[in-house]
Amino acid sequence: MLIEVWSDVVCPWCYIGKRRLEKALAEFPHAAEVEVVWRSFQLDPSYPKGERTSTYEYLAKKFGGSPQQAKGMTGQVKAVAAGEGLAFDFDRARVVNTYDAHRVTHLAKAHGLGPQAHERFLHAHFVEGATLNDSDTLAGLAAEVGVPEAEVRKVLAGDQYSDEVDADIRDARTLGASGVPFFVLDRAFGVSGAQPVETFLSALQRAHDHAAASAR
Amino acid sequence: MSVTAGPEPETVEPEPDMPAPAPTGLIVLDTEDAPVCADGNCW
Repeated sequence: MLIEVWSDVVCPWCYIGKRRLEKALAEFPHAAEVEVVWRSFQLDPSYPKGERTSTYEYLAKKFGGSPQQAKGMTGQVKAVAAGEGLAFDFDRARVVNTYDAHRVTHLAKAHGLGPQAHERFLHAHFVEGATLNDSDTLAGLAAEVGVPEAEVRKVLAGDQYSDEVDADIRDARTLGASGVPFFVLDRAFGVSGAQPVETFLSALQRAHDHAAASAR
Repeated sequence: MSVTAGPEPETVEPEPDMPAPAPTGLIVLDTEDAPVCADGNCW
């Protein structure tokens, strides 16, 4: 079974949904037959490349109010993340354009390290306050999971893997994803949002049954 | 690695509680409210 997940590395519900899917897979009896592929999506493609803003300032500008009021908006997400074992630190998280991070994730994917890179970038942004539009940061994080640093720097110096990122975003639109995370099982079933573990389990079972019935 | 849409999923006989397929042929399950980031809004 192929599970494709459209996700952005600065999307809090994508990280929470990832943990919930992982928990569901840990309980799913046919998990060994499942491959999870992470697809690129940008929450805010219009955010200027090279700039970085604190999460609170970004939210205050987007929705109005003060950074302090914006901090209050993040409280619920932080609490839900904590329930999944994720220590989100919005005091340190910096909003950036994530296009280059996605290009590096595709390079990692070419090395068979896509899931590791996606997890590393999510953790770096939400827990460690890393700025994911910085070449040194991206090269260092990718190298940590085994992607050759020189290749990362070469990719970041050019436009390699742009077509792959663009194709992922186009596919999300074609499949009708109105938000992320968006999970697609065997291109037959879709699950939108950071659903509870039980919902993921139910979807996994349904997709498995469907594949078994189709094979008969 | 280029990512392209695969073949159209085959038609599934809908179960009583199964939502109707989207125009893409994808059956979106459990569409009840679950937190998402949409239009840049996660909050």
